[in-house]
Amino acid sequence: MSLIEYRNLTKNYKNIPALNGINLDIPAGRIVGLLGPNGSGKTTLIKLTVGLLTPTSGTVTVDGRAPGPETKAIVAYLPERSYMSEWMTVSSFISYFADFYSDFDKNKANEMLQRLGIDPNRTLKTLSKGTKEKVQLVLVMSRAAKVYFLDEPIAGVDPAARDYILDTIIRNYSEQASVVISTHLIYDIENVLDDAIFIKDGRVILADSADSIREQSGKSVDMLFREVFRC
Amino acid sequence: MLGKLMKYDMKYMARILPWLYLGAVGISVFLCIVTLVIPFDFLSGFELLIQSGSTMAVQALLIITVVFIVIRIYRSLLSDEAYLTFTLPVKNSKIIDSKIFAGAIWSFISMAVSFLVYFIPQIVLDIRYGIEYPASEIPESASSVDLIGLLKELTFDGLLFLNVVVIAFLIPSLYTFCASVVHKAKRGRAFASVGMFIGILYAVIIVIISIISFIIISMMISYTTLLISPDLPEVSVFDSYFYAPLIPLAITVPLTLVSWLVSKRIANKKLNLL
Repeated sequence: MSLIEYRNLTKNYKNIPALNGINLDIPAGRIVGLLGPNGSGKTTLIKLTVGLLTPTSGTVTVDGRAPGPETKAIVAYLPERSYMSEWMTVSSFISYFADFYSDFDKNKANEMLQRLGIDPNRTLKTLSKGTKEKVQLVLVMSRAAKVYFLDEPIAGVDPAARDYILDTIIRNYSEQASVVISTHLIYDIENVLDDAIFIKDGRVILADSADSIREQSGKSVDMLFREVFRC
Repeated sequence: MLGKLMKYDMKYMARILPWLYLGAVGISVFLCIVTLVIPFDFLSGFELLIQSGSTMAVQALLIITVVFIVIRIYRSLLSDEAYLTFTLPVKNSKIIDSKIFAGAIWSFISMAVSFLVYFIPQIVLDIRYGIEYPASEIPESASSVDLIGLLKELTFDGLLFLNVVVIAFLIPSLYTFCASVVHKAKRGRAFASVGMFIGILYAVIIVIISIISFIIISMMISYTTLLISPDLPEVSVFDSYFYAPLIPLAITVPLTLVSWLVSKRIANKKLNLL
Protein backbone atom coordinates (compact mmCIF):
# COMPACT_ATOMS: atom_id res chain seq x y z
CA MET A 1 0.00 0.00 0.00
CA SER A 2 1.22 3.51 -0.79
CA LEU A 3 1.97 5.83 2.07
CA ILE A 4 0.23 8.77 0.39
CA GLU A 5 -2.60 8.44 -2.12
CA TYR A 6 -4.24 11.15 -4.20
CA ARG A 7 -7.44 10.27 -6.04
CA ASN A 8 -9.04 12.71 -8.50
CA LEU A 9 -7.82 15.51 -6.29
CA THR A 10 -9.01 18.94 -7.37
CA LYS A 11 -8.56 22.25 -5.67
CA ASN A 12 -10.04 25.51 -6.92
CA TYR A 13 -9.36 28.99 -5.62
CA LYS A 14 -12.70 30.61 -6.36
CA ASN A 15 -13.20 29.29 -9.89
CA ILE A 16 -9.53 29.04 -10.82
CA PRO A 17 -8.21 25.47 -10.63
CA ALA A 18 -4.89 25.11 -8.78
CA LEU A 19 -4.95 21.30 -8.98
CA ASN A 20 -6.92 19.39 -11.54
CA GLY A 21 -7.79 15.72 -10.97
CA ILE A 22 -4.50 14.52 -9.46
CA ASN A 23 -4.05 10.73 -9.23
CA LEU A 24 -0.79 9.78 -7.58
CA ASP A 25 0.79 7.30 -5.17
CA ILE A 26 3.85 7.98 -3.06
CA PRO A 27 5.37 4.82 -1.58
CA ALA A 28 7.29 4.55 1.71
CA GLY A 29 11.08 4.83 1.89
CA ARG A 30 11.59 7.15 -1.09
CA ILE A 31 12.95 10.65 -1.60
CA VAL A 32 10.55 12.26 -4.04
CA GLY A 33 11.09 15.51 -5.91
CA LEU A 34 7.91 17.48 -6.50
CA LEU A 35 9.08 19.57 -9.41
CA GLY A 36 7.41 22.35 -11.30
CA PRO A 37 7.63 26.06 -12.08
CA ASN A 38 6.15 28.75 -9.87
CA GLY A 39 2.36 28.53 -9.67
CA SER A 40 2.22 24.94 -10.93
CA GLY A 41 0.40 23.69 -7.79
CA LYS A 42 3.26 22.13 -5.76
CA THR A 43 2.54 24.06 -2.56
CA THR A 44 -1.21 23.53 -2.89
CA LEU A 45 -0.66 19.77 -3.15
CA ILE A 46 1.50 19.82 -0.01
CA LYS A 47 -0.98 22.01 1.91
CA LEU A 48 -3.80 19.61 1.05
CA THR A 49 -1.72 16.70 2.32
CA VAL A 50 -0.72 18.33 5.62
CA GLY A 51 -4.29 19.48 6.32
CA LEU A 52 -3.93 23.22 5.77
CA LEU A 53 -6.41 23.15 2.88
CA THR A 54 -9.47 21.09 2.11
CA PRO A 55 -9.97 19.68 -1.40
CA THR A 56 -12.68 21.01 -3.68
CA SER A 57 -13.20 17.39 -4.75
CA GLY A 58 -11.37 14.08 -4.63
CA THR A 59 -9.44 12.57 -1.75
CA VAL A 60 -6.02 12.53 -0.19
CA THR A 61 -4.95 9.90 2.36
CA VAL A 62 -1.79 9.58 4.44
CA ASP A 63 -1.18 6.10 5.81
CA GLY A 64 -4.80 5.28 4.91
CA ARG A 65 -6.33 8.24 6.72
CA ALA A 66 -7.70 11.61 5.63
CA PRO A 67 -5.67 14.57 6.95
CA GLY A 68 -6.41 15.20 10.63
CA PRO A 69 -4.73 15.05 14.04
CA GLU A 70 -3.66 11.39 13.47
CA THR A 71 -1.91 12.14 10.16
CA LYS A 72 -0.39 15.37 11.51
CA ALA A 73 1.30 13.26 14.19
CA ILE A 74 3.20 11.34 11.50
CA VAL A 75 3.79 14.12 8.98
CA ALA A 76 6.67 16.57 9.38
CA TYR A 77 6.12 19.74 7.38
CA LEU A 78 8.62 22.44 6.49
CA PRO A 79 6.77 25.35 4.85
CA GLU A 80 8.40 27.79 2.47
CA ARG A 81 8.08 30.60 5.04
CA SER A 82 9.03 31.08 8.67
CA TYR A 83 6.28 29.90 11.01
CA MET A 84 8.11 30.56 14.25
CA SER A 85 7.12 33.21 16.80
CA GLU A 86 9.82 35.85 16.89
CA TRP A 87 9.71 36.27 20.69
CA MET A 88 10.54 32.62 21.43
CA THR A 89 14.06 31.29 21.84
CA VAL A 90 15.41 28.38 19.80
CA SER A 91 15.46 26.19 22.92
CA SER A 92 11.83 27.04 23.74
CA PHE A 93 10.93 25.91 20.23
CA ILE A 94 12.68 22.62 20.90
CA SER A 95 10.53 22.22 24.04
CA TYR A 96 7.46 23.20 22.00
CA PHE A 97 8.10 20.48 19.42
CA ALA A 98 8.92 17.95 22.15
CA ASP A 99 5.61 18.80 23.86
CA PHE A 100 3.48 18.25 20.79
CA TYR A 101 5.28 15.61 18.75
CA SER A 102 5.96 12.30 20.48
CA ASP A 103 8.45 11.39 17.70
CA PHE A 104 10.60 14.47 18.33
CA ASP A 105 14.18 13.78 19.45
CA LYS A 106 15.48 16.62 21.64
CA ASN A 107 19.07 15.32 21.71
CA LYS A 108 19.19 15.06 17.94
CA ALA A 109 17.94 18.65 17.60
CA ASN A 110 20.54 19.96 20.06
CA GLU A 111 23.31 18.06 18.28
CA MET A 112 22.29 19.51 14.92
CA LEU A 113 22.11 23.03 16.34
CA GLN A 114 25.55 22.62 17.87
CA ARG A 115 26.97 21.43 14.55
CA LEU A 116 25.43 24.44 12.81
CA GLY A 117 26.78 26.79 15.48
CA ILE A 118 23.36 28.10 16.45
CA ASP A 119 23.00 29.31 20.04
CA PRO A 120 19.79 27.76 21.43
CA ASN A 121 19.32 30.64 23.88
CA ARG A 122 18.88 33.23 21.16
CA THR A 123 15.43 34.53 20.30
CA LEU A 124 14.22 34.10 16.73
CA LYS A 125 14.11 37.84 16.10
CA THR A 126 17.90 38.03 16.54
CA LEU A 127 18.56 35.40 13.87
CA SER A 128 19.09 36.00 10.16
CA LYS A 129 16.61 34.68 7.57
CA GLY A 130 18.95 31.85 6.57
CA THR A 131 19.57 30.82 10.20
CA LYS A 132 15.83 30.78 10.88
CA GLU A 133 15.40 28.43 7.92
CA LYS A 134 18.11 26.19 9.32
CA VAL A 135 16.41 26.15 12.75
CA GLN A 136 13.11 25.17 11.10
CA LEU A 137 14.83 22.41 9.19
CA VAL A 138 16.50 21.15 12.39
CA LEU A 139 13.11 21.05 14.13
CA VAL A 140 11.47 19.17 11.26
CA MET A 141 14.33 16.71 10.67
CA SER A 142 14.60 15.92 14.41
CA ARG A 143 11.30 14.12 14.19
CA ALA A 144 11.05 10.42 13.41
CA ALA A 145 8.09 11.07 11.12
CA LYS A 146 6.69 8.73 8.48
CA VAL A 147 6.51 11.49 5.87
CA TYR A 148 8.51 14.70 5.50
CA PHE A 149 7.15 17.47 3.32
CA LEU A 150 9.83 20.05 2.58
CA ASP A 151 8.55 23.01 0.61
CA GLU A 152 11.44 24.84 -1.06
CA PRO A 153 13.94 23.90 1.67
CA ILE A 154 16.98 25.28 -0.16
CA ALA A 155 15.52 28.33 -1.87
CA GLY A 156 16.55 30.96 0.67
CA VAL A 157 19.98 29.73 1.76
CA ASP A 158 23.50 30.09 0.39
CA PRO A 159 25.04 27.26 -1.74
CA ALA A 160 27.26 26.06 1.13
CA ALA A 161 24.23 25.73 3.40
CA ARG A 162 22.36 23.90 0.62
CA ASP A 163 24.84 21.05 0.75
CA TYR A 164 24.49 20.86 4.51
CA ILE A 165 20.67 20.90 4.30
CA LEU A 166 20.56 18.11 1.71
CA ASP A 167 23.07 16.13 3.72
CA THR A 168 20.94 16.67 6.84
CA ILE A 169 17.85 15.43 5.01
CA ILE A 170 19.55 12.28 3.74
CA ARG A 171 21.20 11.46 7.06
CA ASN A 172 18.18 12.05 9.27
CA TYR A 173 15.30 10.25 7.65
CA SER A 174 14.63 6.62 8.28
CA GLU A 175 14.39 4.01 5.54
CA GLN A 176 10.68 3.52 6.22
CA ALA A 177 9.91 7.20 5.80
CA SER A 178 9.24 9.19 2.64
CA VAL A 179 10.61 12.63 1.93
CA VAL A 180 8.80 14.87 -0.51
CA ILE A 181 10.90 17.86 -1.60
CA SER A 182 9.19 20.61 -3.53
CA THR A 183 11.55 22.83 -5.52
CA HIS A 184 12.41 24.33 -8.85
CA LEU A 185 16.17 24.21 -8.07
CA ILE A 186 16.48 20.69 -9.46
CA TYR A 187 20.19 20.72 -10.20
CA ASP A 188 20.96 20.97 -6.47
CA ILE A 189 18.77 18.07 -5.41
CA GLU A 190 18.88 15.72 -8.38
CA ASN A 191 21.52 13.48 -6.84
CA VAL A 192 19.43 12.71 -3.77
CA LEU A 193 16.15 11.98 -5.57
CA ASP A 194 14.73 8.47 -5.93
CA ASP A 195 11.60 9.63 -7.77
CA ALA A 196 10.53 12.77 -9.59
CA ILE A 197 7.05 14.18 -10.14
CA PHE A 198 6.64 16.90 -12.75
CA ILE A 199 3.65 19.10 -12.13
CA LYS A 200 2.36 21.71 -14.56
CA ASP A 201 -0.79 23.85 -14.41
CA GLY A 202 -2.21 21.68 -11.63
CA ARG A 203 -1.69 18.40 -13.46
CA VAL A 204 0.88 15.64 -13.02
CA ILE A 205 2.64 15.30 -16.36
CA LEU A 206 5.34 12.85 -15.30
CA ALA A 207 5.81 10.59 -12.28
CA ASP A 208 8.63 8.07 -12.39
CA SER A 209 11.87 7.04 -10.74
CA ALA A 210 14.83 9.37 -11.37
CA ASP A 211 16.85 6.49 -12.86
CA SER A 212 14.06 5.54 -15.24
CA ILE A 213 13.65 9.18 -16.36
CA ARG A 214 17.37 9.43 -17.07
CA GLU A 215 17.35 6.07 -18.87
CA GLN A 216 14.32 6.75 -21.04
CA SER A 217 15.03 10.38 -21.91
CA GLY A 218 18.79 10.12 -22.08
CA LYS A 219 18.95 13.37 -20.07
CA SER A 220 19.32 14.36 -16.47
CA VAL A 221 16.15 15.22 -14.58
CA ASP A 222 17.30 18.85 -14.52
CA MET A 223 17.80 18.92 -18.32
CA LEU A 224 14.45 17.30 -18.96
CA PHE A 225 12.77 19.76 -16.56
CA ARG A 226 14.30 22.71 -18.44
CA GLU A 227 13.08 21.23 -21.73
CA VAL A 228 9.54 20.52 -20.54
CA PHE A 229 9.05 23.83 -18.77
CA ARG A 230 10.85 26.07 -21.27
CA CYS A 231 9.11 29.47 -21.51
CA MET B 1 -3.16 18.53 24.42
CA LEU B 2 -5.43 21.44 25.42
CA GLY B 3 -3.25 21.96 28.49
CA LYS B 4 -0.10 22.10 26.35
CA LEU B 5 -1.70 24.56 23.93
CA MET B 6 -2.85 26.73 26.82
CA LYS B 7 0.61 26.64 28.36
CA TYR B 8 2.04 28.45 25.32
CA ASP B 9 -0.92 30.82 24.93
CA MET B 10 -0.60 31.78 28.61
CA LYS B 11 3.17 32.19 28.25
CA TYR B 12 2.76 34.67 25.41
CA MET B 13 0.72 37.02 27.61
CA ALA B 14 2.87 36.32 30.65
CA ARG B 15 5.75 38.15 28.98
CA ILE B 16 3.95 41.48 29.16
CA LEU B 17 0.88 41.60 31.39
CA PRO B 18 2.48 40.99 34.82
CA TRP B 19 4.69 44.06 34.21
CA LEU B 20 1.62 46.09 33.36
CA TYR B 21 -0.10 44.84 36.51
CA LEU B 22 2.93 45.91 38.48
CA GLY B 23 2.81 49.36 36.86
CA ALA B 24 -0.91 49.74 37.56
CA VAL B 25 -0.47 48.64 41.19
CA GLY B 26 2.42 51.10 41.45
CA ILE B 27 0.14 53.93 40.31
CA SER B 28 -2.49 52.76 42.81
CA VAL B 29 0.00 52.70 45.69
CA PHE B 30 1.26 56.16 44.72
CA LEU B 31 -2.30 57.50 44.74
CA CYS B 32 -2.96 55.88 48.14
CA ILE B 33 0.17 57.53 49.58
CA VAL B 34 -0.88 60.89 48.09
CA THR B 35 -4.35 60.44 49.61
CA LEU B 36 -2.93 59.73 53.05
CA VAL B 37 -0.23 62.38 53.23
CA ILE B 38 -1.82 65.33 51.48
CA PRO B 39 -3.20 68.12 53.75
CA PHE B 40 -6.94 67.65 54.19
CA ASP B 41 -7.76 71.08 52.78
CA PHE B 42 -6.34 70.01 49.41
CA LEU B 43 -7.90 66.58 49.41
CA SER B 44 -11.11 67.46 47.57
CA GLY B 45 -9.03 69.07 44.82
CA PHE B 46 -6.86 65.95 44.54
CA GLU B 47 -9.88 63.66 44.50
CA LEU B 48 -10.29 64.26 40.80
CA LEU B 49 -6.65 63.45 40.17
CA ILE B 50 -6.89 60.28 42.25
CA GLN B 51 -10.03 59.11 40.48
CA SER B 52 -8.80 60.06 37.01
CA GLY B 53 -5.38 58.51 37.63
CA SER B 54 -6.73 55.19 38.81
CA THR B 55 -9.34 55.18 36.05
CA MET B 56 -6.73 55.76 33.37
CA ALA B 57 -4.53 53.00 34.81
CA VAL B 58 -7.50 50.65 34.71
CA GLN B 59 -8.46 51.66 31.18
CA ALA B 60 -4.91 51.18 29.94
CA LEU B 61 -4.69 47.78 31.57
CA LEU B 62 -7.95 46.50 30.09
CA ILE B 63 -7.28 47.87 26.62
CA ILE B 64 -3.76 46.49 26.50
CA THR B 65 -5.08 43.09 27.61
CA VAL B 66 -7.59 43.09 24.75
CA VAL B 67 -5.00 44.29 22.24
CA PHE B 68 -2.55 41.56 23.23
CA ILE B 69 -5.24 38.88 23.06
CA VAL B 70 -6.19 40.08 19.59
CA ILE B 71 -2.54 40.12 18.48
CA ARG B 72 -2.06 36.59 19.82
CA ILE B 73 -5.15 35.33 18.00
CA TYR B 74 -4.22 37.11 14.79
CA ARG B 75 -0.63 35.89 14.76
CA SER B 76 -1.22 32.29 15.66
CA LEU B 77 -4.37 31.75 13.58
CA LEU B 78 -4.09 34.13 10.65
CA SER B 79 -0.43 34.97 10.05
CA ASP B 80 2.46 32.70 8.96
CA GLU B 81 2.52 31.16 12.47
CA ALA B 82 -0.73 29.43 11.50
CA TYR B 83 1.38 27.06 9.38
CA LEU B 84 2.68 25.64 12.63
CA THR B 85 -0.52 26.06 14.66
CA PHE B 86 -2.66 24.11 12.22
CA THR B 87 -0.14 21.34 11.58
CA LEU B 88 0.03 20.40 15.26
CA PRO B 89 -1.50 16.98 15.92
CA VAL B 90 -4.58 18.41 17.65
CA LYS B 91 -8.14 19.09 16.61
CA ASN B 92 -8.71 22.58 15.26
CA SER B 93 -11.43 23.12 17.86
CA LYS B 94 -8.88 22.54 20.64
CA ILE B 95 -6.68 25.29 19.15
CA ILE B 96 -9.60 27.74 19.31
CA ASP B 97 -10.54 26.53 22.82
CA SER B 98 -7.03 27.18 23.99
CA LYS B 99 -7.17 30.79 22.76
CA ILE B 100 -10.56 31.30 24.38
CA PHE B 101 -9.60 29.86 27.75
CA ALA B 102 -6.16 31.52 27.94
CA GLY B 103 -7.64 34.86 26.83
CA ALA B 104 -10.50 34.55 29.32
CA ILE B 105 -8.12 33.73 32.18
CA TRP B 106 -5.95 36.77 31.41
CA SER B 107 -9.06 38.94 30.99
CA PHE B 108 -10.32 37.92 34.43
CA ILE B 109 -6.91 38.52 36.01
CA SER B 110 -6.77 41.95 34.35
CA MET B 111 -10.28 42.74 35.57
CA ALA B 112 -9.41 41.64 39.12
CA VAL B 113 -6.26 43.78 39.10
CA SER B 114 -8.27 46.66 37.59
CA PHE B 115 -10.81 46.58 40.38
CA LEU B 116 -8.07 46.55 42.99
CA VAL B 117 -6.24 49.38 41.27
CA TYR B 118 -9.44 51.41 41.00
CA PHE B 119 -11.07 50.79 44.36
CA ILE B 120 -8.14 50.69 46.77
CA PRO B 121 -7.41 54.44 46.35
CA GLN B 122 -11.18 55.06 46.70
CA ILE B 123 -11.27 53.08 49.95
CA VAL B 124 -8.23 54.95 51.21
CA LEU B 125 -9.97 58.18 50.23
CA ASP B 126 -13.08 57.12 52.18
CA ILE B 127 -10.94 56.18 55.18
CA ARG B 128 -9.26 59.59 55.07
CA TYR B 129 -12.65 61.31 54.93
CA GLY B 130 -13.84 59.05 57.74
CA ILE B 131 -10.88 60.07 59.92
CA GLU B 132 -11.33 63.76 59.22
CA TYR B 133 -15.11 63.54 59.58
CA PRO B 134 -15.94 61.22 62.49
CA ALA B 135 -19.52 59.96 62.33
CA SER B 136 -20.56 62.09 65.26
CA GLU B 137 -19.49 65.21 63.43
CA ILE B 138 -21.23 64.51 60.14
CA PRO B 139 -23.63 67.36 59.44
CA GLU B 140 -27.27 66.30 59.82
CA SER B 141 -28.07 67.20 56.23
CA ALA B 142 -25.58 64.63 55.01
CA SER B 143 -27.12 61.67 56.79
CA SER B 144 -30.30 62.07 54.76
CA VAL B 145 -30.38 61.71 50.98
CA ASP B 146 -27.13 62.87 49.41
CA LEU B 147 -27.97 63.36 45.73
CA ILE B 148 -24.65 64.83 44.74
CA GLY B 149 -22.71 62.02 46.39
CA LEU B 150 -24.97 59.51 44.73
CA LEU B 151 -24.56 61.17 41.34
CA LYS B 152 -20.82 61.19 41.78
CA GLU B 153 -20.81 57.52 42.73
CA LEU B 154 -22.95 56.62 39.74
CA THR B 155 -20.83 58.65 37.34
CA PHE B 156 -17.41 57.33 38.29
CA ASP B 157 -18.33 53.76 39.09
CA GLY B 158 -20.90 53.59 36.32
CA LEU B 159 -18.45 54.73 33.67
CA LEU B 160 -15.86 52.27 34.88
CA PHE B 161 -18.37 49.43 34.84
CA LEU B 162 -19.52 50.46 31.38
CA ASN B 163 -15.97 50.26 30.07
CA VAL B 164 -15.29 46.93 31.68
CA VAL B 165 -18.57 45.57 30.38
CA VAL B 166 -17.83 46.74 26.84
CA ILE B 167 -14.35 45.19 26.97
CA ALA B 168 -15.75 42.03 28.51
CA PHE B 169 -18.20 41.86 25.62
CA LEU B 170 -15.51 42.55 23.06
CA ILE B 171 -13.23 39.67 24.01
CA PRO B 172 -15.57 36.67 23.45
CA SER B 173 -16.99 38.39 20.37
CA LEU B 174 -13.52 38.52 18.86
CA TYR B 175 -12.92 34.88 19.70
CA THR B 176 -16.05 33.77 17.88
CA PHE B 177 -15.23 36.04 14.99
CA CYS B 178 -11.69 34.67 14.66
CA ALA B 179 -12.86 31.10 15.00
CA SER B 180 -15.33 31.67 12.17
CA VAL B 181 -13.05 33.39 9.72
CA VAL B 182 -10.12 31.06 10.13
CA HIS B 183 -12.12 28.39 8.35
CA LYS B 184 -12.85 30.46 5.30
CA ALA B 185 -10.68 31.55 2.44
CA LYS B 186 -8.69 34.70 1.73
CA ARG B 187 -11.76 36.95 1.86
CA GLY B 188 -12.47 35.72 5.40
CA ARG B 189 -8.99 36.71 6.50
CA ALA B 190 -9.48 40.19 5.09
CA PHE B 191 -12.76 40.48 7.00
CA ALA B 192 -10.97 39.27 10.14
CA SER B 193 -8.30 41.93 9.79
CA VAL B 194 -10.89 44.66 9.25
CA GLY B 195 -12.99 43.31 12.14
CA MET B 196 -10.08 43.29 14.52
CA PHE B 197 -9.02 46.76 13.44
CA ILE B 198 -12.54 48.02 14.10
CA GLY B 199 -12.51 46.26 17.50
CA ILE B 200 -9.27 47.96 18.55
CA LEU B 201 -10.39 51.33 17.17
CA TYR B 202 -13.68 50.92 19.04
CA ALA B 203 -11.87 50.22 22.29
CA VAL B 204 -9.56 53.23 21.82
CA ILE B 205 -12.52 55.52 21.08
CA ILE B 206 -14.27 54.30 24.23
CA VAL B 207 -11.21 55.13 26.29
CA ILE B 208 -10.90 58.63 24.83
CA ILE B 209 -14.60 59.37 25.28
CA SER B 210 -14.68 58.03 28.82
CA ILE B 211 -11.57 59.94 29.88
CA ILE B 212 -13.06 63.17 28.49
CA SER B 213 -16.42 62.35 30.17
CA PHE B 214 -14.67 61.65 33.44
CA ILE B 215 -12.83 64.93 33.42
CA ILE B 216 -15.80 67.04 32.33
CA ILE B 217 -18.36 65.35 34.58
CA SER B 218 -16.12 65.26 37.62
CA MET B 219 -15.24 68.92 37.14
CA MET B 220 -18.95 69.73 36.94
CA ILE B 221 -19.69 67.67 40.04
CA SER B 222 -16.87 69.21 42.03
CA TYR B 223 -17.98 72.68 41.02
CA THR B 224 -21.66 71.97 41.80
CA THR B 225 -20.73 70.37 45.13
CA LEU B 226 -18.74 73.42 46.04
CA LEU B 227 -21.62 75.73 45.10
CA ILE B 228 -24.42 73.80 46.81
CA SER B 229 -22.81 72.40 49.89
CA PRO B 230 -19.13 72.93 50.54
CA ASP B 231 -19.23 71.04 53.87
CA LEU B 232 -20.93 67.94 52.55
CA PRO B 233 -18.96 64.79 53.33
CA GLU B 234 -18.47 61.96 50.84
CA VAL B 235 -20.99 59.16 50.81
CA SER B 236 -19.26 55.83 51.12
CA VAL B 237 -19.49 53.69 48.00
CA PHE B 238 -18.24 50.70 49.93
CA ASP B 239 -21.35 48.59 49.21
CA SER B 240 -20.76 48.82 45.48
CA TYR B 241 -17.27 47.30 45.80
CA PHE B 242 -18.74 43.90 46.44
CA TYR B 243 -21.11 43.59 43.54
CA ALA B 244 -18.95 45.54 41.11
CA PRO B 245 -16.82 42.61 39.83
CA LEU B 246 -19.95 40.53 39.34
CA ILE B 247 -21.25 42.70 36.52
CA PRO B 248 -18.51 42.05 33.95
CA LEU B 249 -18.23 38.48 35.16
CA ALA B 250 -21.95 37.91 34.62
CA ILE B 251 -21.58 39.15 31.06
CA THR B 252 -18.25 37.61 30.15
CA VAL B 253 -18.89 34.09 31.43
CA PRO B 254 -22.06 33.36 29.38
CA LEU B 255 -20.65 35.15 26.33
CA THR B 256 -17.44 33.18 26.47
CA LEU B 257 -19.46 30.01 26.89
CA VAL B 258 -21.60 30.84 23.86
CA SER B 259 -18.52 31.71 21.77
CA TRP B 260 -16.93 28.44 22.84
CA LEU B 261 -20.01 26.45 21.74
CA VAL B 262 -20.18 28.31 18.43
CA SER B 263 -16.46 27.84 17.71
CA LYS B 264 -16.77 24.16 18.64
CA ARG B 265 -19.39 23.71 15.94
CA ILE B 266 -17.42 25.44 13.21
CA ALA B 267 -13.83 24.65 14.16
CA ASN B 268 -13.62 21.14 12.79
CA LYS B 269 -15.24 21.93 9.48
CA LYS B 270 -13.44 23.35 6.48
CA LEU B 271 -10.00 24.81 6.89
CA ASN B 272 -8.60 26.85 4.04
CA LEU B 273 -5.42 28.52 5.09
CA LEU B 274 -3.80 30.33 2.20
